Amino acid sequence: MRSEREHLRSSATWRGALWITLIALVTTSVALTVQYVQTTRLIEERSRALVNDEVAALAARYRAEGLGGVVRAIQREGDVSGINEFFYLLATPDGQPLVGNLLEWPASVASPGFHSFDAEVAATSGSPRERSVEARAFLLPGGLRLLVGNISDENAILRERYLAALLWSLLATSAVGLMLGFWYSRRGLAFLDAASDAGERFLQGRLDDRLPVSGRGDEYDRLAQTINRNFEEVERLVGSLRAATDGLAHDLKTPLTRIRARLDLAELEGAQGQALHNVILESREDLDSILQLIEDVLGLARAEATVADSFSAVELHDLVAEAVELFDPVAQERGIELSCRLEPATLMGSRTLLARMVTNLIDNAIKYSSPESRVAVSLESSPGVILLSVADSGPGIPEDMRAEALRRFSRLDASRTRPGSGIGLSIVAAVARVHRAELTLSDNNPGSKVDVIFGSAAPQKD
Amino acid sequence: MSAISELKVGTLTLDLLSRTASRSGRRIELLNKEFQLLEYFLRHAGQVITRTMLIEAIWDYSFNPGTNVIDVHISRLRSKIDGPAEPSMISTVRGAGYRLDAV
Repeated sequence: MRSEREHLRSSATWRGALWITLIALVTTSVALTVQYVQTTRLIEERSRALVNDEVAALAARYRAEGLGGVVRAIQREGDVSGINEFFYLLATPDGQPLVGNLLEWPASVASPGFHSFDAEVAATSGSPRERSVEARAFLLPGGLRLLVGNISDENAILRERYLAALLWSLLATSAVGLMLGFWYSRRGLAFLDAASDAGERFLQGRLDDRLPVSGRGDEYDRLAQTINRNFEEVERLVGSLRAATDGLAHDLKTPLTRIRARLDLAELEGAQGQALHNVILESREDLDSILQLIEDVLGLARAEATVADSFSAVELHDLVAEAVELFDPVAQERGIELSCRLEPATLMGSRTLLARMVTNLIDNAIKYSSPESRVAVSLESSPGVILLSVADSGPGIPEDMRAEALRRFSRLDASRTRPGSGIGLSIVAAVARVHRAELTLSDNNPGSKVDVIFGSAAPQKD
Repeated sequence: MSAISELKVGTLTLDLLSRTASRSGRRIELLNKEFQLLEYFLRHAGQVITRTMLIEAIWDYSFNPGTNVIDVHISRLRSKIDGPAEPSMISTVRGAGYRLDAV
């Protein structure tokens, strides 16, 4: 499986590299060819224009001075070492050369017009050489043939150079393209490889596995971060589900075991009258606590499933004031001073969930405070930030247990003797998460302090 | 709500306009929520009222806010409406809730 993936990966890498190379090759070829065609056309046009001028000049001289004038002109041109490398041939109607630096009338030139051919040309110095020429044949009045041409060796040289340049360019492009393409494709594929490996390990149960983030801040990083956030969310959900299942089982088992024992005992003793009535009452209380637990679990599930779409403007100060009013008698009964200091604050949220959060926080603070202590609720509002604090002077939460305290069903006292399902802070955490608020537990010296910070990320009322 | 301006059960009277309460002519000072609570009891006199009903009607919460919050409120209300020598009008129905009767 590993070697097959390795094979797939390298073939995909090469495929990517080849595509990149192919594109580079086509681009290079097209660019060079266009340039070559343009250049040769320009040279040919210029050369033909020069030949035409020369032919017109000789034809004019023939009309003015007759054959002798033309012959003299051709001889004069032949004696000067040519700047324009022209050659001339004046021949009889049957092709016998009369004058000129071309040694014989070329067989391939049978009609007037432009012709390209190779011919022996008499040079101004040394022996005749085979040159490639571009020439125009012209019929003078009286049947004499005139051939005026231009040495076109440079066209052939240009073609050779073009082909050489094309070959070298293509070779260089191929080499560089393959190298860069291989490197580029491998980078992308290496990321995909890492992503599939991490996903594979995640599926096999290593929920803490994450994709590497290079820090370059490119698209790969963005994808890696998104995938990592998904992994984190799955890990968190699985973790809380596991804790919830364990805690729920434990919390259900205790009252159910009590009911069972009570019923067994009542049957054994043949309980009647008041004794039986007590069994019923006590069992009903246990059943109530079970129902309350189930309601809390459902409340937590609802809180976690709430989406921001259902939010409306909530006057948080009113909501907190009501909750404080609700708990004031409870606090007084326990000899706890419940104080509150509220600044007006409005935010977009779920009224029910926020009320649940606030009442949970106050309930917890009162529940875990020792008598004759204080619980302080405060609401501070500044632009973009709303801070809700509930501070108590109870036993506090040890720093290393604070994260655990936010998890479901952890009640901090291992004995689990106090009332309540201990699901409270988990509901608070879920409500905070839904409202994109930050939840922190800190020391109140003595006691603990819960801060809920609704940041600017939390949608404010218009 | 109905057009009546006064609720009366036994010796207990609630004036809905002036929002005052009295029992056997003795004026009872009530906080806003206590008045709403008592009004709810008077409107449902003789019926068993569960804690959930009270939480929803008076505090508009769709959840149980705390372990014994309602019990504490009821016991406060009781101490206000029942004079030293008077019998309690609000009785606890165990496992269910409360009931207000004309004693």
